[in-house]
Formats: sequence, C-alpha cells, structure tokens
Amino acid sequence: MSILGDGGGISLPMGDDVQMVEVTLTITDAAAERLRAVLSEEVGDDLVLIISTLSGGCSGHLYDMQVAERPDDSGFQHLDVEGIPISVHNRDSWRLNGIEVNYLDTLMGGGFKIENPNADRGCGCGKSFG
Amino acid sequence: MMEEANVSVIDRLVDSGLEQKEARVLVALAAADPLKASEIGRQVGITRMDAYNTLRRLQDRGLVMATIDKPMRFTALPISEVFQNFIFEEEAELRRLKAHLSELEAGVGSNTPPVGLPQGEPTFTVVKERTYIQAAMERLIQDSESHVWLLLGRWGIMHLVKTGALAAINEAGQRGVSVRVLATLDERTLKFYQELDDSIEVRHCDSFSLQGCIVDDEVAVQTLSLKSNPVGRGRDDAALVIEAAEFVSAQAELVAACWGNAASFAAARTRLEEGRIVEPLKVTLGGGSFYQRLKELVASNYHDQHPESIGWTNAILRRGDEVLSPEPTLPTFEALGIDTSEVFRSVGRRIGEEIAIELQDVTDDDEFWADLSQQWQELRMGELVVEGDPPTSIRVIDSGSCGGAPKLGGPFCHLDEGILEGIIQTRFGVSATAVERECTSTGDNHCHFDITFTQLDV
Repeated sequence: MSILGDGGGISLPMGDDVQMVEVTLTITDAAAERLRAVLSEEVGDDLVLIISTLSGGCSGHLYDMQVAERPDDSGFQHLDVEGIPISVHNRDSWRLNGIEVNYLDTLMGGGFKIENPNADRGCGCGKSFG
Repeated sequence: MMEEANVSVIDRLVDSGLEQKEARVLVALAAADPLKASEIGRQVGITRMDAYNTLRRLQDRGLVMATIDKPMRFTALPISEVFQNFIFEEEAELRRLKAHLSELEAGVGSNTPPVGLPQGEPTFTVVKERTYIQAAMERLIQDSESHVWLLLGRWGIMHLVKTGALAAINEAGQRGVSVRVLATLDERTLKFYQELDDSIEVRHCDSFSLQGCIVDDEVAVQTLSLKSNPVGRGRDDAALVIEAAEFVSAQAELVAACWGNAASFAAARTRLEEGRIVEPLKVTLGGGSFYQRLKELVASNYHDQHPESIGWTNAILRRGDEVLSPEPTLPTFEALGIDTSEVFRSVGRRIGEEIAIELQDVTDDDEFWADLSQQWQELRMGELVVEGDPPTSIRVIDSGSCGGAPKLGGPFCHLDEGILEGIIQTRFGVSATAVERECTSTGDNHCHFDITFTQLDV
C-alpha cells in the first residue's frame, strides 16, 4: 500500500486568482455626508478611505472601510467619489467594482451597507457575500 | 417678654386639659394679689358671669381659692403646683383603672361575660382627641406581629414623640416587625426622625396628608379631622379605627403604591437641608404599544432599506482598531416611540427646581430674576430678558446652550423650556408650559420662550 493509501489522493491549497479591473463605485448622499463628517473629525495628513473585503460572515466576506493615510503601495487604485478620496487594492478590485456604498439610519443605529452586484447570494446574517 | 412667657404657660395649661379661659384666669391670678371676679373678667376679657362660672370650676378642682372678704376675692395656686395637682389626679386615675383591671382579671364582678362579635366581622370605632388616637395606635403597634405602615402626614412624627408612642414603634422594629413610615418631611421635623430605630425605613411624599397606621393588614387607624396646630392637644381630632379585612387590605395597597413613588429619607433630607435634588428622575417616555411599533419598524426597515438581503450593515468603518460606525443615534429612540423632547424637558425641569431652591431665600421677585439672570450667564446659557411677574415671556440673548443645536425644537431647546418651567413651578407654585418660538439655531439673534400658565388664578 502506498503512503497515499488505497488510491486516494491529497489536495493542496491553491491561491485565489487575482483579477485586476479598473474600479468604479458610487456613494449615496447619506453615506457621503457621513464619510465627510468622519474624515473631517479625524486628524492626519492626506487621509483616504481604504475599502477592502474581509474574511468572515456566514458566506465569506465582509467589507472593511478604513480611514488611513493614503497608501503609497503601487498595488492601490485611488479614486475620488463625491469629493471623498478612496483607495482600493488591486486584489479586491474585481470584487468591489460597481459597488454602491450606502449609509442607513436604522433601529439598531447608523451603519454602512454596501450593495454589490458581484455578490451572487445574500447570507443569513446579512453581513457577508459569496 | 412677660407676655410671651404667659402665652407659653397658657398653652401648657390648655395642653394639660384646661379650657383656654380657665388657663387665662389661672395665669392672671397667679401673677397678682387676690382679685374680684369683675376684675378677673376685665383682665381676661370675659363677662363677670363667665368669670364666676370659670372660677367655680377651678375651685372644684382645688386650683383656685376664695377669700372670706366681702366682696369675695380669688387667688390661685402657683402654676408649678397646678401642674403637680394635675399629675396627682392622673396618677390617681391610673391607679383606679389598674385596680379595675386587676379585679376583672381576678374574676371579681365579671359574672356577665362580654358578648364578642363573630370572628372576622368588620367593625369600626370613632376615637376622638389626639391623645386617645395616639394611644390607640400605640396599643395596636404593640400588638403588631409582621408589618406596620405608619402614615404621618407633615406633623405626625411630632405627635408620636410628644405622646411617647414612638417607643412602641421602635420596640416593634427591634423585635423584627417591618415598620415603614410614609410622611411629608419638613425641615422643622427632620430631627425627630432621628429618634426612630435604625430598622425603620422612612420615605417622603411631597403632599401626603394621610395620618394613621395599618397594622398587619388587619386593622387601620385613619385620621378623619386634624387640628392644624401640630403641638396642641388636638381635642377636636377624630379618627376611625377600622377592622375590616377587605378595606384595610385595599388601604395597604394604596399606601404601597405611594411608597413605590416616594423619595428616600436621605434624598429628601438632602433636598431640604442642601437644596439639591438627588432622588432618581422618573420620566415618561411615551405611550402605546412599543412591541407593535417595533414589529412595524422592523418590517418597514426590511422592505424599504434592505430589499435584497436580511440585515442592516455589512461594512465596518474604522480608524486603526477603533470602530467608528455603527453607533446609536437619537432617531433610534424616536423611532421606537420614545419622546426624547420629554426626556430633555424633564431633566430641564429638575435643573430649574434646583435653581429655584438655591434662590429660595431671595424673597423679592425682581432680585430673584436678577440673580437668576446672573446665574444663567455664569452657566454660559446667555442673557435673560424677563417680561411679566410671574413672567409670560422670556428672551435669551446669545444662548450658548442651544447654539449648536441643529434645529428649532432640538434637544437643548426642550432642556431650556424645562428649566424655565421648573423654576416657575417651584418659585411661584403654579404649573407653566414654556414654548420656544424663536431660536438662534434658525438664524434669530436670541431664543424667545412664551410662558403659558395652566392655572388661571395667576
């Protein structure tokens, strides 16, 4: 008997394909107003909003929106949407292309909601996409 | 000075059981050489016949003696001996009563047994005169087994101290009976509450006039009429002693409800002695079915704002490790039906009450408003311009408190309205509603509040 057992095989982890696209996205008025307020309150030079996807949620990804100084990494695309400076890494570009960033004031408080045309299904908890 | 001392002696004599004019005659005689009835009448302000009748009653008690002169003149025992006489009389009476009781217990003359009422039959008794009412309460409390409600109104604690019934109450507390005291505390009576046993809890209601007690939910003493003089003998006082399970139980429920809304003794004392209001603020948040409103809002949120997925957010906004969103917002409370304006108004009223209490020693209204105006400025709330007394219109120039408010009718506008209402209510004892009709937040250079009184007799 081979060390692989009775004819079974093994599989190795494969890296995700990184497909780079030129990102366009929209921001609703409510989200723009909120983001402008947040950026104006934060202290720092050349602040931007870095949008990326995170692992987590019941179906795979959550969105991360980080207020940070403009990254000098050449892997980022830099956009200006409604006067708000936004940076998106190339590895997230295919997932984030076409998204709409919205801000909702709901029973549970205010929060950002990203509508993503690339998401093929919603999740039970509403916090991720596949 | 002499006049004041006489008044005090007269009060003591009246408190000891004499009629007012008997006391005055005794005091007049004690301070002078023997007098004729006509002279006494003139001094005391009664007719000669009235003086004769009064003197005869005092003679019957051995307090006044007549000379054998013609016309007859009268003299009295020294006042200290008068009181000594009273004590002898009371002690003799007590000995007589004890003798009766001993003989009854020994079976002497008790061949006609009393016919008792059927067990549980509701009964009531009218007791007159404060001393006897207090004695009835004392006896019931001595027999208490589990719990006692003591209802003292504003002056009841003084009656307890004066008659000695306080000892029975403390004794009940010390033997494990739950004794709770509900009263309207007054800075003049606070010291008497210190004489209560530590096991006894006292709470304060602003306007609590009930006086009496409820013992073991079985028997209640309820005062019917009470003379306003808290230190007098209270001869016209009357009370019902009620033994009726359903009535007493209902009374106890009513008192328990008042107890739930009453302030602690410590909080009331702080308010009376320091002018600070520290008891919990109770606020009405709104009415209707919150559950129904929540269900409707959740459904509305789901359909209107989340057409494609369940949930409300899928993005975290952060700066480093600090999460910047989500965060709770005021509209959330309003969406649930919680009236935030009423919350701010209630807090404002409380602040206004405290301000008015702080300035309560300022008796002149103009001076009061001037002091208030200065305090308002020190709080950086702007300059007050008051019209009317009590005011019907108040303008606040350079109001800092609502300068940052987003709109007329914002939270700080309601806070200011509440402060003005609290001040007026506490200072003038009338209910008022303050409504802001101009505000710096809408571009005016001042805030303008209209004051409407809800009591028309102002």
